[in-house]
Amino acid sequence: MPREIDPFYVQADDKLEDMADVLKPALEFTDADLERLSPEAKNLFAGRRRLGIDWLDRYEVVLKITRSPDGCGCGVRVGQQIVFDMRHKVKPALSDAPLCVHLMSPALSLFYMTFDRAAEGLNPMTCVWRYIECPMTGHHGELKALAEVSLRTTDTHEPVFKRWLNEEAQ
Amino acid sequence: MSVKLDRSTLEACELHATVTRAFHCANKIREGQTFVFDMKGRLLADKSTAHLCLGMIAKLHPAILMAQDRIASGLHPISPSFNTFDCYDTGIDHGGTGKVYVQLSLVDPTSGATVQAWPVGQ
Repeated sequence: MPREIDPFYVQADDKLEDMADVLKPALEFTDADLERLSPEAKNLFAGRRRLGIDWLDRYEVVLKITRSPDGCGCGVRVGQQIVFDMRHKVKPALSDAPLCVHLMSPALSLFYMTFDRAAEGLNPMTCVWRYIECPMTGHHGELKALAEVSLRTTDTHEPVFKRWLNEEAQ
Repeated sequence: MSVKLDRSTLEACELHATVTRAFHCANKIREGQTFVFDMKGRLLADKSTAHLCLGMIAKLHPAILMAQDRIASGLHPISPSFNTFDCYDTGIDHGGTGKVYVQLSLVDPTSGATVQAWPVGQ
């Protein structure tokens, strides 16, 4: 039995024709593959309808280290940063912190939210979860590194705070 | 009695996650590419050939913790039971988009050779 989906979201029979020219080469999709996608996956791509076809290229996520007592075992220091693109790839050339797997891994949850929020037409950066921490606690957390997360534009590196990035979507 | 090793020290070795299969990956990760980490778990961007996708990197975090635990116990860092991993994308037939699989190995950066198991205590 077909699932009911709120009309705001992508429906099961939506073939994403408006973005097929972008998705097919990027993901090596055939037309049949596009049809195979679940409504949830199609909704993921629908962020392009809310924020623009190029929204993934317009922004970056920055993890700025705010705490690293005594420098952690991986050499992360306060003030350093790790930069990601919106496809959650590290941008090494823009990052000056060690690319520590322990500190970076918790950031993946932020990117689940960026795609979800984009599909809603919102600023992709969560307004709630703006800090991440390294799971390596040391003695009762004494050695725990912390980082603040923010969204910025790719071209000018200006912070992006607006709730709605596409005024027409309001 | 000291033992002269014919390989780099364990601390100088690297953990390589080599892509064994990839399809419909939005970050264009391809078979044969690698994610390279030092033994502390720092991703070595200049030695990695794959695009540095957090969806794969984060999935390797438990594997790196396990490798460090195995080292502390005097074992080879690579578990014989858990040495293949996949990314967090569930794939096109399971509500996601693509999928990447990797095989983990210990590599001597001096020779580029895979370091096989060695006797405990050596």
